[in-house]
Amino acid sequence: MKNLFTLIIWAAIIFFSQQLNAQIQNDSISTLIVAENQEAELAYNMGITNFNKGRYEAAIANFGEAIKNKTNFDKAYFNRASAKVELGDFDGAILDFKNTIGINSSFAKAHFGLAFVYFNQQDFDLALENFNGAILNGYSEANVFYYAGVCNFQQSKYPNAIEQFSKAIEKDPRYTYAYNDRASCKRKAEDFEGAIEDYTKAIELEPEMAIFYNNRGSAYRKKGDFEDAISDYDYAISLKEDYFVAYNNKGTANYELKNYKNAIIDFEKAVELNPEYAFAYNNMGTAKMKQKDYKGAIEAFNKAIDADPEYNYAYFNRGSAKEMLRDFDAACKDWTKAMELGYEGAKSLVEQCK
Amino acid sequence: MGLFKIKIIVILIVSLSSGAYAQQFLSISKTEFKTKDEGFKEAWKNLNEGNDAFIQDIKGTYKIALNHYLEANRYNPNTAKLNYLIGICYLNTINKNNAMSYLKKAFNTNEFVSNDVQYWLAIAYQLNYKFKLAKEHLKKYKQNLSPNELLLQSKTIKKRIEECKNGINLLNNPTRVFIDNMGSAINSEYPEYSPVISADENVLYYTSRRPETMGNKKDPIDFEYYEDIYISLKAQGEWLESDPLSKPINTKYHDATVSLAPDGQSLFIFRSSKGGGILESVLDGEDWSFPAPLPRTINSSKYENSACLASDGKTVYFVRQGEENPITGEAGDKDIYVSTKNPITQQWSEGKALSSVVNTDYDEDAVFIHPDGRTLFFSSKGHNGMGGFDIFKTELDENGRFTKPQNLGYPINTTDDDIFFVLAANGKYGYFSSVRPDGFGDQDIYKITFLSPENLILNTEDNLIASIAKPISALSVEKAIEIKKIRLTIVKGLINEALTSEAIGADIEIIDNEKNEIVFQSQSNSSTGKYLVALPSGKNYGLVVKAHNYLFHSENFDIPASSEYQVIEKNIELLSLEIGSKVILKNIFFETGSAKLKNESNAELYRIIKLMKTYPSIKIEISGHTDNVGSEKVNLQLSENRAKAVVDYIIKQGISKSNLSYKGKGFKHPIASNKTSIDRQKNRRVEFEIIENN
Repeated sequence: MKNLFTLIIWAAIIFFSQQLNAQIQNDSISTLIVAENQEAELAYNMGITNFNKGRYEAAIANFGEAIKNKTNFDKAYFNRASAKVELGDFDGAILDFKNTIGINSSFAKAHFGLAFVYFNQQDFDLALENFNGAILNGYSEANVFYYAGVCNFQQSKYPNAIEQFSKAIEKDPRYTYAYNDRASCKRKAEDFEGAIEDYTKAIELEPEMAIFYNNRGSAYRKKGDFEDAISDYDYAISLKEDYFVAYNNKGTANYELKNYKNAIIDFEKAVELNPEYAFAYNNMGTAKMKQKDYKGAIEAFNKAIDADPEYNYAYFNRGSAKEMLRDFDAACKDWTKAMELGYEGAKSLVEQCK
Repeated sequence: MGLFKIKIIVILIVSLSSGAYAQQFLSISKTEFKTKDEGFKEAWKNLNEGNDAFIQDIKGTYKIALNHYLEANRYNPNTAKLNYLIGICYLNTINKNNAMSYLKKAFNTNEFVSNDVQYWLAIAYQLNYKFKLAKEHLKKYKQNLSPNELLLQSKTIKKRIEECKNGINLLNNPTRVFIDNMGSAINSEYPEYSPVISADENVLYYTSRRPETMGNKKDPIDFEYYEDIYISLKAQGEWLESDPLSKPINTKYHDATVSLAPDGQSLFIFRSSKGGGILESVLDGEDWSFPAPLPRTINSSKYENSACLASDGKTVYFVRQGEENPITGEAGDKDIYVSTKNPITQQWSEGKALSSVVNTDYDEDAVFIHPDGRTLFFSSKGHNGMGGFDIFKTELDENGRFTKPQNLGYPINTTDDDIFFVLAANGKYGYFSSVRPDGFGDQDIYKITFLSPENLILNTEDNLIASIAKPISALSVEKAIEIKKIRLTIVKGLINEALTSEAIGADIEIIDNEKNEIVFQSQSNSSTGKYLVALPSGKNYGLVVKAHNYLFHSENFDIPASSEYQVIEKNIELLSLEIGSKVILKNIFFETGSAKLKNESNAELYRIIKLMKTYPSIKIEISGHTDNVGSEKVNLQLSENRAKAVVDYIIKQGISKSNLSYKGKGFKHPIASNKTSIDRQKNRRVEFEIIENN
């Protein structure tokens, strides 16, 4: 192999809407100095050329040829896996990443690639196992710790997640996503002060990111500082005018302040931006109930259910509105539906209906 | 007689919750009162007539005084004394909250108009839910008392301040209910109170003091008509026009509702004649029996005015008044007592006061035990009330002790009297008496609809993970739901003759199969055949219906402890003692796959023995039946062995072998499909058939 030299390039591959730095093993060679028995390498190089031109199917065929000629060609397996990812063949990619690791268990990037495919399939157990495999084999980019943190978060293992996000921040002190996500862990663990501190750090580093303000607003709201929450939501909205999630949150903060009139204005704005936004319709209904406008509430819950016919809480709330209009039978029907759709809390009310 | 009547007035008619001492009469001089000649003569006359009525200090006379004083006040509305007197009159009538503006004027005009004006102003503030003001005035009033006065009054003032604090708490955490006036079919401008209902809410009895009450006379004590009992029936969900009960329930004296058995077949009433006390009348067909006094252990020489029989028929909760204070002459306070029936002697035990968890130094009254047998409601002027009688709830815990009473909360309870609460078997509706702004006048009967806890759920979401575009949602508001569970099964229906469908007044026995004892006995109504029994959850019950010259009928109800409120409708047809009459013995139990009788079967077996001893001329066949699981041969053998086991048991108890035969019928005569486990269970049975009757 002395005639060959190896060059690793980073390819930015977009999986769905996510960003991942995956790696293609790129050996650049000169055909003039192809020696005997170099068919595998030749095919491999063709594969890279095709890959870089976006001809993934051809690339897969090339890498396959390479593997046929050299069965333990780990880099060819790895590259074919990357091409399969590009084509959305995740099962095939998993198989090739596994083959890479089978040949060379310390192939850190293969562990990372495999982990990322699992991550996208939302199999956070296997993803975490392989992110850890990547770390164990010397992969030490900030993002591996970040994604390991996200896996832990998704499994509700917040202390572990915090540890990983902290490592990511250690590697890259300007890693705003890691600050944001570490804050979210703290928020989940009801450490609202800690959450606010980390969201603030993310905001300081990247003051144009609307989601950081929205999230900090929600931490304030959870803490009971509704005025601060509203101020953050307003700022998030000023950065991202169609941020219906922030409007919905602002409405909820106003609801908590018993400012039902303003809450309804916010929820209305949210559904204006996203007419299918079931949450905001539902929340608007609850605010109308607080205003004793039960008919208006039912209309709002109806819209929530139109937008999401499986929305158990909207059925539950609508039942409560119907109860206040003394339509007890209809209330019982809605509570029963909420229970059938998985809301356990409706059970005791349904029993009362007998 | 006079003394006795006063007691009735104090107890059955909601009394003024005024506290420790009487109000003062203030004499107004001509010079104080006269402002001008015009209208003076008339006003002065009204003032003096008001004074005459006021100083009688009898409940009914304050209303008369008030009308005169209000006339006089139109001439001169600015005398502190007259405003004080009007305020005091209002405090002694049904519209107590009207006292506030007059007492306020009296106090603001001259805060020394009487030495107690500030106290009564505070009370008026309390009645109008101005708890903070009430507290402030009570505290100031207390500061100005002499040491001797303080000694006499400090307990009352402390209690009032406590009530104001309770009021603030209760108003901040209202109970979720609808409260509806029962409407003109029941309420009138006269007092209506003490509603009692059957467990299925189809019959309502209540007390009223209307002009048409029997005898048509007013009680001289309070100038109101004597009490009579009225009935209203529900049809298509509406209460129909009420009718007074006739004799022997209503008389020309006070006749008032006390409580109704869950099946509506027995009524406790209070009657003022013949020394007074609580009497029981039983419904026989359409007629109420002549009321008979409750036993002396309950209806003692002391004063009892409220009683409620638990649905097990073995426990009575009642209210007894304590001894009068020999020094001050103050009436004793009323407490809740319990008496139980001895299962062997059938005697009721001496009444025993409930513990201080339930009874306070103040009055407890209007006791009601729910058909679930463990939830007790009563009204009290003590505990954490906000003024007057408030309604409370307490529950029997696993150790048979009552839990700390809970205030039913605002708006059920108000600063005035809220009393005579009863709760429907399903726990969803309650009925009570109160004076409210939407009333027809005086006390009215109100219906409470208990609503589910407010538990609105908001959904929010955030971009918790920056690398995932889709926001992650969360429930924003979700409180735990706590609902009081009624663990009770109501079984109701009709008992009829199988062939003619005629109603039968049959004896109903409820048996605890495990303990093999009768837990409750009752009768179906002889003219309608209706029956109703309340079965608290947690037992395997046998229900047996017996009537003379009929084969008994038996049903089994297995009601686990976790079962919540349910109503089972079960019509029962009784077969006469004729050849071919057949009964399924639903309370005979075998061990699985065996012909060994379980002990739980003893009661049913005993009933067969008793029937055969009562009617020695009948010959019966006992047949065993199985489901279709397993081979015919095995099933035939098992069914025969089981039938034989029943017959052997009966013979052992002294019934002649010649009157008995048995047969195993396997699965050849199914009564259900065998497709489901419930149907298969129905098919596994023992039957009893009359084959000869000489």
